[in-house]
Parts: sequence; structure tokens; C-alpha cells
Amino acid sequence: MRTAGLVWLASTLLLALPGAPLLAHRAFGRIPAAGRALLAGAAGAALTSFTMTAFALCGVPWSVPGVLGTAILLGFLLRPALRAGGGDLPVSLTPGPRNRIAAAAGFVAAIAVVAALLATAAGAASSPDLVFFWGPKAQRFALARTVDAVYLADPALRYMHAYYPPLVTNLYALASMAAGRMAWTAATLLFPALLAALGIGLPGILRTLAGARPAAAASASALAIAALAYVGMEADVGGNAEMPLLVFETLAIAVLLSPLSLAPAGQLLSGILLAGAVTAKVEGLPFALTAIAVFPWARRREIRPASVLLRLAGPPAVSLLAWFAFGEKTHLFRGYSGEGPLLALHPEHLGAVARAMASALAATGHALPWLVPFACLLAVAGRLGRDAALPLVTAAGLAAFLLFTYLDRPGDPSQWIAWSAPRVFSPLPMLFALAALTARDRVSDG
Amino acid sequence: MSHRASIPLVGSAILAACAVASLPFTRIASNGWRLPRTPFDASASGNDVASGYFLLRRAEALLPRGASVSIRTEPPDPTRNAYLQRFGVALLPDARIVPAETAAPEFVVVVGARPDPAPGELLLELPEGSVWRRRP
Repeated sequence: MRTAGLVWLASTLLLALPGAPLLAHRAFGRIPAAGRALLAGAAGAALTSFTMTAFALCGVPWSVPGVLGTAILLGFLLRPALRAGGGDLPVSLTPGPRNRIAAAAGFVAAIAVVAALLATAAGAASSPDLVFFWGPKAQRFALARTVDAVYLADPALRYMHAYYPPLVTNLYALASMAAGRMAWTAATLLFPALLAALGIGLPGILRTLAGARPAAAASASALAIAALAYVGMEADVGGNAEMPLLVFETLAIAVLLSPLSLAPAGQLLSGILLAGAVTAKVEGLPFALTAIAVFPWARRREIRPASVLLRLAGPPAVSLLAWFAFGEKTHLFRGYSGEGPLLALHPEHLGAVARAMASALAATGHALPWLVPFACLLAVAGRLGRDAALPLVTAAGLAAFLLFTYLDRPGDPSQWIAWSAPRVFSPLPMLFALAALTARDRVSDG
Repeated sequence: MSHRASIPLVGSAILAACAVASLPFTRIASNGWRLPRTPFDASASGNDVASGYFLLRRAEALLPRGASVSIRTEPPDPTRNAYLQRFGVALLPDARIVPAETAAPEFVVVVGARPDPAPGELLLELPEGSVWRRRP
């Protein structure tokens, strides 16, 4: 990888800057530093992408300082909202020694990340979709200094899906502007890089869950990381939108499971993370909708649903509406109508869809990335907490949406399922791992 | 020891071991543990993808800005042609990619064997394919 590639990758670290004003707030002071840095990066990425979409909508040309400066300002402007409702966050880290289990979990997670790195570096985990549409769109947008509507309107480029949400192409374009060119290999390496960031930051965030001792938090994190690494290697996600989506989804659910989510600061942070998810991929929307619907119900004894809904749903709604407004203004697309007619279900395909889904998952590491976390969940099923409803109903909602989508096409979707199912079902192992963490301990760690 | 800690740890160890076992060690070793030429060298998508990627990256320097270029395979295969056209759009951003079947481009990139008859003046020939300037 040449200098441009290194600059391309390194420039993604700048995305933490817009998130820093939020995560530096004392409301998040109890989260360990690595976890806060990871959250700042993810929140900053969502704010930066929103800024770029807003610039494109308003006809303001992109520049690296202009976009980042505005996104940082947005981060500062959101800070007062962290204190709305007042009060410190009811967060305390569950005491417990960093014992051999926690150390072993960290070691296992590191092995999984290194495996993903080796696979990607060897050219065995790169996504063709990077070269088909994510990369060329970003490359063009970087040259045009905006979302190039003329380019997207070219009938010969219809396969690039103009309506696909903008976060990945926005952020790749920003990195390409910083590096002076699109760096294809660097983009593929985001898969292990984001996996490593999760591996370092997630255990600390999970420690804020009620009763989650260091060993349990580290083990749950390692399970999620290992599953995501194995799926990603088998399903070739290097450079496509899967890994950014998974980072947003993982962090949003982790924060919503934590007592952080009982205060406005945690709710707004979750909302920003869900904004990242809905603007990363189409299937981020059903994920976010389910989580936003389930959270107030799961926490109904501790929160006031109306204000919570505003903080959770506000950022995703504003982010997605800005993108849809761009589609309307440029006559490129109307909402998600590009996905085809809604409710044109073909139940006669149910058998074929079920067989194709089973076959696709079985062909991805013998379905172990799903079966192993599910078995871990079953092992503690009798002791799951009420909070487990959030990841489990979200998993069910996402699975139902994907089944619906596969049945919503006139032709036989088997081929489509074969290459998409392992990727789009990849959040499920992470959700199983986080749900298992809500189980009550029978004996203490040690 | 808590089940909440030990069970996921065992699960993660199983998955990490499977991930390591799935690495293309033979491919990496045969490449002398060097970095690959393209991000698709050990791809399950097939050798075409890596060959096409490598050839197009090499072709980029030979093609003038705004030139019309078609990309095709030899022997001809419409499905592979369609995928390579998309690779061309990505990897030759300064060129105008035109369909191999319908247009008369200024340049032709051929992934695979040398075409017969030759489509023009040979600019580059590699094991992965060749680049030609068409005769007017």
C-alpha cells in the first residue's frame, strides 16, 4: 500500500473530531477512554456524513476543512442537549478484577482481528461491491466535491443504486479528498481496522451494563468480534458498507443496554449512532426502527417514552430525510422506491427463500458464526434479563424485514440470497452475544 | 467462574480458531508472504476479478484522459464482460467506458488470451491480458 493509501486510512481517524465535543462531556466520564474514543469516532462519522449530505443538498462544495469544521461545530451545538433533563448518568462500572478470563477474551479477540487482517491483506476478503459502486461513487464525488447527481443519473450506471444511503460514499469521498485519490486496498483494510477498534473499545462500553463484570464484558465482546470477523472473511465484506453498519449497530445497542440510556445524553448518543446505521445501508433502517420501538417498552418503568423517542428517532429521521430531500431536489430518487414495489409479496417463493437462506448461511463457515453465538445465548436463556428484549426483538425485526424483502420480488430470489444473506444477517451474532450478556450471574466472576 | 463469562469465551475461541483455519495459507505462502498485486488475488470470486483489476490498473497510465475504452474477455463471455465494464468504470475514472458489443471505442482492454484477429495496435501485453489502440 502506497502513501496515498496510508493517508486515506489515517484520515478516517479525523472522524473522531466531530464526536469529541460530545464524548468529552462529563456525562460519559465513566466510560473507559478506549470506549469513549470509539464512540467519538462513530458519532463523528455520523455527524460528518450528515454535514456532507446537507452541503450537497444546499449546493455547498465539499472541502476537508469545511466539512470537518462544520461537523465539529455541529458536535459543539449538540452538547447542551446532553444535559437536557439534567442529572448525572446512573452509570458505574461493576467492580471486578481483570482476571484470566478477561485476558483470554482479549487474546481471542486479537486473534480474530489478526485473522481478518491477514485475509484482507492477502486479497481474500475484499468485496466486489467496493469496485462496483461504493468506490466509484466516492471517487466521483471526491472529484466533483459533492454528491454528483449528473453522474448518478447516467442510465448506464443504474447498477450503482443512486438511492443507496450516503454515509459510506460520503466518508470514502472525504478520505479520497484528503489522500488525493481513491485508495482501493486501504478501503478493504477498513474491515480489520474497524474490527480492531471494536475489539479495543467495546469491552469498556459493555462494562457499563448493569452487573457486567470485566470478564463477562470482555467475553461478550470477544464473541461478537470473532463472529463478525469470521462472517466478514467468509462473506467478503472488505471495503463495502457492512463493517461501518455493524459498528454503528453494535455501539447503538451496547449504549441502549447500558444505564447510559436512562439519561438524555445516552439517548441522544444512541440516536446519533442509529443515524449512522440508517445512512450506512438500507437494512440499517429496519434495525433502527425496531430498536427505537423496543427500547421505550423495555425501559418503560424508568423513562418517559415521548422525550426519549425524540432523542432516539430524531437524528436518524433528520439524516435520512436530508438524503431523501437530496433525491427529490435532483429528481434522482424518491425515498426507497428504488427498492421496487412494496407489499408485492410472493408467498409462493417462501420454500425457495427458506432453502436459499439456509444454504447461504450453511455455506458461510457452516453457519457457525450464527450457531455458536446462538448456542451461547441458549446456554443462559433461563437467566436472561428483561433488557435482552432489545437485542432479541431487534434481531427478530431485522430477520423479518429481510425475509419480507426476499419475498417482495417477482422472480426466484435464490441467486440474490446466495450472495447477500450472509452479509445482511451478520448483525444477528452480535445481537445474540449482547443479549447473552444481560443474563444474571449464578456465581460471581473469579 | 461465571457462565456469563466462560461460555462466550469458549464460543469466541471456537470462532476465532475457525477464522484462522479458513485463511488461504497455501495462497499466501505461494506468494512468498508478500502483499498481493490486487485486493482480489485470493478472492473466491475467481481469478478473472484479480486479473481484470490488475490489467485495468496497469492500463490506466496508457489511456489519455477522456478516451473511449471497451473492456472484454477472451474468449468472449457477455456476463464476464458486463462485470469487467463495471470494474473499468471504477478503475479508469478518466476514461469513457463503452459497451464492448455495441460501440467502436478508441481503446480495447482484453482480459484473457490475445484476441485473433488483433483489434489494433498492441500497447501492453501481460499474462492477464492486453491493451490495444484500435485502428481508425
